[in-house]
Amino acid sequence: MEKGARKAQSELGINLLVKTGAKETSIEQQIAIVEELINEKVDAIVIAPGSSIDLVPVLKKAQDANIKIVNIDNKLDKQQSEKLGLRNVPFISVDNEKGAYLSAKFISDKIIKPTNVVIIEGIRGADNAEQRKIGALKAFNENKNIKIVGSETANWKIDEANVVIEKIFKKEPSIGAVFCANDMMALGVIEYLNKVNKQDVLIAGFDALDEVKSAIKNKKMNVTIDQQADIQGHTGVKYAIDMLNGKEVPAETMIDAKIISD
Amino acid sequence: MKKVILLLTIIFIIGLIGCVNTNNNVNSLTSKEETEKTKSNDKENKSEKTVALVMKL
Repeated sequence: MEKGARKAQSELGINLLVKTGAKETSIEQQIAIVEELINEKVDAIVIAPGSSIDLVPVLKKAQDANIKIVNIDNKLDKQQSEKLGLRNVPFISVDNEKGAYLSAKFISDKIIKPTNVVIIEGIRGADNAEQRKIGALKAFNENKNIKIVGSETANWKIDEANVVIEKIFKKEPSIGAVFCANDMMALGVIEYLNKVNKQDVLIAGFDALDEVKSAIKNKKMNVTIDQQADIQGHTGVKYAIDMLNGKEVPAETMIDAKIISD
Repeated sequence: MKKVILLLTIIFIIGLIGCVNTNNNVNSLTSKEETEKTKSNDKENKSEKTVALVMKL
């Protein structure tokens, strides 16, 4: 994401500040970062919000301070935005439902006999987590050999996924495939499967982390989705500058999801 | 005769001082206008916008 934004920075000759929460789930930290940016009087904020709902109030405050807002990756909640009056925020992302469908479909196509499968969800209520769950369910429901025996959240976290999958396997040992809504959770699942020496479970993820690309090469995992985050970052910064120059930008821009598989 | 010449000289000097003051005021106004104009142009020409990218990890 930063790589794409830096490219836009050099093309457009702007100042770019890059701020990152310490964890994917550090929503309060993101709120504090936006507060700080309001005080610094930046011209625009391009944000991948950790929460679709909790970031809306502070972004409305930023918009009231005449700061342009561009939403990338995880969509801000429409109802909460309307309720608080946060308007004209363009959204750039990958089609999460489609990406998850492609990822889950990849392992689903390998299932030709009755198999129990599990979905490990992201933060419930987060738009991207919900869309990815819908996509995975759609793919699994197309295969009559698949029985979904569990769908639990691990809140995007590796450690939580490790604990959640252990509980699921203890309850239902004959699981043949797991879809994880992000790669961090997939790594948590792989860690557990390595610990119990289970090699025959199909695993699908989402994000195309370097560790996961290596896991796919080493046959520890089957598939992930590249969200082309660099394109999201580049487009986000470009839209921000267009808005500052009074140009109109599309309300929604979907970047193609790329499948990376074994 | 001398009184008349003295009177004309005084009138001339007063007139001269008046002219210089008016000119100074004009210069001062022009300078102020130019400063305002420059400030305005500076604002319009500010090309380096600051954009912040806020990411998750």
